[in-house]
Amino acid sequence: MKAVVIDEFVSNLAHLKVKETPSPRQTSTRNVRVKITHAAVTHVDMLYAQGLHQNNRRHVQPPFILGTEYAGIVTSSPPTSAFKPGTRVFGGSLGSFAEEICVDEGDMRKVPDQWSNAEACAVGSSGAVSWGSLISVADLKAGETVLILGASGGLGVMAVQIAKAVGAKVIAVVGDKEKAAMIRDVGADEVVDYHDERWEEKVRSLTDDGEGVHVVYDAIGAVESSLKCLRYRGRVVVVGFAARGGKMEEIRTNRILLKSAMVHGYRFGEDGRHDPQRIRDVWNGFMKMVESRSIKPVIYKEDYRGLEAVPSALDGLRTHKVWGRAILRINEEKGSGQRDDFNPEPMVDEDDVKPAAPPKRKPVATEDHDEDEDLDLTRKVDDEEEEDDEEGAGEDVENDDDDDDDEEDEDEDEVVARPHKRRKKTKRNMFVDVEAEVDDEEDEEEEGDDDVADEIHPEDDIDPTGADLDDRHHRELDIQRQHNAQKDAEDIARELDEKYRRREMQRAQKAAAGSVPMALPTVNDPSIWGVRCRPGKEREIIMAITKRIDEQVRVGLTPKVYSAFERGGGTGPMSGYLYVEADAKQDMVEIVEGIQNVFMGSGQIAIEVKERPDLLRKRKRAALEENGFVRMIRPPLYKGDLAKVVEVHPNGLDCTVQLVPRLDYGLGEDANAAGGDGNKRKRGGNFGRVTERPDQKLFSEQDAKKRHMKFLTMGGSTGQKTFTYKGDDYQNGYLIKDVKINFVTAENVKPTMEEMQLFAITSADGTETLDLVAVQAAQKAAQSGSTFVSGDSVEIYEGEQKGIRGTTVTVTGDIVTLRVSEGELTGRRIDAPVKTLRKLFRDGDHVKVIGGSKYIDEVGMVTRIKGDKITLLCDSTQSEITVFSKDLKRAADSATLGNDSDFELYDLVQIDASTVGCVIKVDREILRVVDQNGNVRSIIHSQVSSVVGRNKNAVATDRDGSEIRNDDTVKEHGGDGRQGKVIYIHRGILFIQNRELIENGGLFVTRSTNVATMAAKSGRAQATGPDLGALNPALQPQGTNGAGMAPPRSMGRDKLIGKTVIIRKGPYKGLLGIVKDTMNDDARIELHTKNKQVSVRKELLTVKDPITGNSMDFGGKFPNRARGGGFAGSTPNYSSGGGAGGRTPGWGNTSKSGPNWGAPAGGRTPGWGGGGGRTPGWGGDGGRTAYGGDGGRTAYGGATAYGGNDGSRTAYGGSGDGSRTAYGGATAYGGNDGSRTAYGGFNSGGRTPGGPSWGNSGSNSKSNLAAPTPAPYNAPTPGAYSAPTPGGYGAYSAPTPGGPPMDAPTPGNYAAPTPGDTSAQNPTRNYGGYGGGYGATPAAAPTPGAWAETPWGGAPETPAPSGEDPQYD
Amino acid sequence: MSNGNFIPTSQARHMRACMVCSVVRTYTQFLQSGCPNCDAFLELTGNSDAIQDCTSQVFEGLMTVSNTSRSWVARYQRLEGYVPGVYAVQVEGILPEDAVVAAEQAGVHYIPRDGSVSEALPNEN
Repeated sequence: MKAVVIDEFVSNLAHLKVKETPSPRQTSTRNVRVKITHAAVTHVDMLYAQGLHQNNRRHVQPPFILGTEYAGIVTSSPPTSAFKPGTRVFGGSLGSFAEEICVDEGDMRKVPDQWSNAEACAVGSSGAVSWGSLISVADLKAGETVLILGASGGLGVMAVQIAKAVGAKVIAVVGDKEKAAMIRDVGADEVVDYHDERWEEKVRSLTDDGEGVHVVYDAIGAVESSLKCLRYRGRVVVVGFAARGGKMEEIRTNRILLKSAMVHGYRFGEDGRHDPQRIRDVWNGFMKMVESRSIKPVIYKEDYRGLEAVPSALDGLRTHKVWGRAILRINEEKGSGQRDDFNPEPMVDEDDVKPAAPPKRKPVATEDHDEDEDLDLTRKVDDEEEEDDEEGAGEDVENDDDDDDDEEDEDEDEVVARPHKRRKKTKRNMFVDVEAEVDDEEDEEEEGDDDVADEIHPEDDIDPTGADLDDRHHRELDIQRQHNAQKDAEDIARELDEKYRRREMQRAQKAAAGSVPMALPTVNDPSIWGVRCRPGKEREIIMAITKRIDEQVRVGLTPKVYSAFERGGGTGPMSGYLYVEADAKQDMVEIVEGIQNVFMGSGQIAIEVKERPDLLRKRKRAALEENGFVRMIRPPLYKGDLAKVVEVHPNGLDCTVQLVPRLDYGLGEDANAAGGDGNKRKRGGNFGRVTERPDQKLFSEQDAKKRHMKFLTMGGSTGQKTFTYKGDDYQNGYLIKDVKINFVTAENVKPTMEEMQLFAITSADGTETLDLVAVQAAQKAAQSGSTFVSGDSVEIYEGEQKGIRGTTVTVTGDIVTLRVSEGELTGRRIDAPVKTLRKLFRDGDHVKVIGGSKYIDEVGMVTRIKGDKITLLCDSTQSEITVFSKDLKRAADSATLGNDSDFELYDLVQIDASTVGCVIKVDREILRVVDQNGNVRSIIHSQVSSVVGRNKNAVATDRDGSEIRNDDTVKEHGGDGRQGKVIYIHRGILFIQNRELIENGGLFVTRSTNVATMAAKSGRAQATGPDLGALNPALQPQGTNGAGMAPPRSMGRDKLIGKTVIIRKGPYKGLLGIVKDTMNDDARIELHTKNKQVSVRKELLTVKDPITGNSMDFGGKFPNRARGGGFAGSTPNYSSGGGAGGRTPGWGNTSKSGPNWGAPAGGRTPGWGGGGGRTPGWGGDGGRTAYGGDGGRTAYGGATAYGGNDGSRTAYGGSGDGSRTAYGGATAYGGNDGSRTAYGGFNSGGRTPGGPSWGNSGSNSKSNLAAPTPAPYNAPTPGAYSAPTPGGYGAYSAPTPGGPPMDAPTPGNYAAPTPGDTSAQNPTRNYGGYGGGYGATPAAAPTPGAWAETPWGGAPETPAPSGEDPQYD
Repeated sequence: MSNGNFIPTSQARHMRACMVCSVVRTYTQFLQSGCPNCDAFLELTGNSDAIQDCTSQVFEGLMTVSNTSRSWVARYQRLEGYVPGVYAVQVEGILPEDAVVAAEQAGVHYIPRDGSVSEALPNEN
């Protein structure tokens, strides 16, 4: 047949040629063959011819037949088709500038009776487009005013008529008078010429109220002008951008706002893809109008006859001469011409609906052309970017995807065949040549006819009846067939001849080339250099080199570089290099120098001869096995995901995989994005960015319905729900996808447990099981030599050495060296890859079935070996099964059951990051676990990441708020009321064991809040609710208020540290040690006896003199003691006597009393005297210790004066307690000191005065002493009381402070008091005084203090003083 | 562009390799002029089915050869006698049986180029 074939894009439309070409082949059972009578010439055709249309990038590529719209007569159709031969049809498909076309019946329509084929062709789909935009989108109503921009074009004329049919007022905008007349004729109420400078104002003035139009139908892309013409709240429908002169309009969006305008785009074809129903509605709506005869096709006046007229028609279009549609008449015969009176007229495609270019531009054809090109080039560039993006993002996995994308790229307004159809059409049939020749003859006839037809006025045209047509076409076909028959033999002969000659040549060529085994390189061959380049750009560079070579060839040079190649593919070890073969390095450098992405700087590596073959070594692709697991490489969305191979296609290039989809169901979409092409945008936007991909999740119908109902179609077959969503198929929630095999890899799949879980097979009862065969296979792939150890007996079961048996000697990586043990090669060592080996079994071996049969996981003993079939006796069933040896492996432990498991019953194991389970059954390879949700699953051992173990501290709360710990007995509340012992607590989930339950090994899982505690393991107190008391500040122990101020702490280093102490109580009682450190009440003591430090309360310590071993009074709290210590210490003083003298200063002071005392004090006075005189000295001591220690003392501060007393009185202090402040005065008695401390105690109340008196009266003191003493005892009840109390204190409490008093003093006390008592009773005043003093002392701690040592010092001492006393006296 | 072997980057995604001779061209080029080396028996021209069957989009290693007899690379790849142009080092895919038969009949011994057959015959050294 004849057709306008584009073998190569043309730059000049005049170069389009009509050629002979094979008739289109029928490619599907729905194909209808149509003999074309008319074809519309559209702007799209113009672009296609020049390769400027976006579709030219991929789908519409030479060679193809031009033409997108046709009308014709069906010549043959499938029996089931609604289009019987002879039916007049019209439609839009690529390849209409031909005599015949094969089209899917879904893409064509019958020509309405009232129309001729030419008219139908002229209407094409432009009517539906206009109807859709005006009625469906803009919702045009009767009485409204509509402005039609580009009214004279193919779309515009339809829009005008549709608007009129609706009852709207139509203002049409056109470019010249002729068109104006035409459009008025068609029905426009008003016509405006856009060459008028202020045409927008004119439009407004033409509206009824001058406010502007309600609706603008914009086929030319002039939205700003549209907005100017628009009234408030008007609507603008943008249908196309015809004649924008290469520039898309930039709209100032405030204009949209100011008018509250709605600007609506309308992509007819895209609508069809997204919403087929809507398009059907649109077509129906439009066809109704057609039926009501309100639509009149507009055909351009010019007569374009035959395919040869294509160039001139296109030219008319290009120069904007055409209005309406330009129609070509094709295949014209007698009679048909009559119909087509209105001879084909060049017409504007929807795209072209454009006002004629301004007159000045019109003549400048080339300029126009250029601009168009510009426009298209811009588009092209954009598209290419997009495409690059796509490539970068790599989303396009398959051809089909590409097609989809491109479909989106298509300009809606252009009615073009869908890609797949295009492809079909471009297939040509070599056998149809003959037909074409027949057509030639017909054409000539037709031309004759045309002349006649020309004279007939359109209106005179009468449609031939269908019957006529049928008849004619049948005859026509008969003729064709005859011709074919004649030509056939000849042609075939010639063809065959030619074919075989070529084949012959080829063979000769091959022989010459010697399809010989590859020649290894020699030094005589050209050298090869490796050149660094940017990884990933290797192919581009190779192409760039190709270009240079092409260039050289073109200018007649012989390329000096013989070849260049790459092996990178972006990832391999050889990426980043390309290799160039040339004789001289200079040649190599010349060809690659300056090519982008080639790194010349790093030098080029000459590849040694020996290594060259390695450069070209082929890598065998790991074979894909059905049901095996693979990892995805592309598309990026699924990169790295595990997939299961469903099918490997026979061509070995594609496979179908099952994936867990990653979908967001449009949730991530920009809601404001223009509808329709969201997909494309997304892809573009993803380029080069790492976007978050949705999580893996099985397909959810609900989610998909939420936002993407329109993309979802259901096709459930039995039991399986199948969905098609956005062009992908989903089955049982899995994505079923066809991918190229290089988009997946079967190497290093290593599926993790989590991933495998996603592929668990859900059986009918809802339980999930893993396809263990596949798991095994996947894991086997990762097998390495490590499974073989030296000494294993193995057999090679694959490859040339199949059948060889031996013993492994060494294992290196994946290569096993074995010593052959049988056959001819016995004794020799051979290497074999691990994967070709299997272990050899012998009778009696304990083995396990690892795959390949239904007996998987059975374990048993080998009873018979026959070839590669092994019979084993199952342990579990005691039956014999026969399996292939390759499916066996030696069981890890052949003797005991379950010993090869790392898990024990009731282990808590981690299944995945968020799941734990409790083992309820342990098989050799399978664990049955109850997970935290109570589901029972079977998992293989390797899927368990770890044993969690039991957390001793785990605590949960039951429904009553009681705490639950492991081993507590709990009972379910409600439900089955099961009870049992908690064996694990995991985040509020209890794993409870009840031996009486049979199910799941007696284990069940429940939430902790769902149980009540029956018995706590340790008899812990059951929760009684929170301790409110603790929350009530009023009940809190009083801090400062109630308890009184805490005694001030001594600051600085504790004096105790470094002291030698003896422990008086507790397990370490009696041990001696050194205080290393102290805390509040504790001291760390390093024991002398053991190299050990112990903590002991300070009060249990007695300070010892490290040298003498004597006890010393000491302690922050017990100044007394300190004093005591003083005494003790002073003992030496005593002894020294002089020492006392030394103190004399103290004495000196005290001299008054001193005398009295002094003497009496005799030896010990020093102590005392010291007390008095020393005060300063003591002050230090006494002062601090004593006083400091005691709460009350502070007051004593003053007492420092008595410093002397101190020692003693501290005790008082103790007893004095509260009171002593008063003593402040007591200071006075400081002098009295020692002795009277007791008094102090007693005095507390009043004695202050007393105190002073004493102070003064050295002698008095006695009296005083005497007095008081008795006082306490005798009269002064108060005194007595007070005294005693203190006494009590003295003895107990006071001393207590003395702490030491307890131990030491006590004796002192006892010892002392007695004397005290005695003394008290003793008449001896003086003595008594003293005695009293002492006696009191007992009461008062001090004495004890004083005495304390005494006792220590030795009981004798006490007496001694007493003894002395007399002396005093 | 029409005579040279250069394939622009934008077309790179449409590249296919002939499974017999491994020549790399775009789908359109195959459709238009078939395989320059094998069309005698593969008959790819204008036959998209045949192109789908006998050429592969899955190939690895791209090489451009300007002289198939002088170049060792070309000889090693068994390209000697073929036209200069762009070839693939390794082509995946399984040639349909009938195409193999056709090749044999045309005197071409078909050796798969997917690495599945060990080609290193004299590799003893």
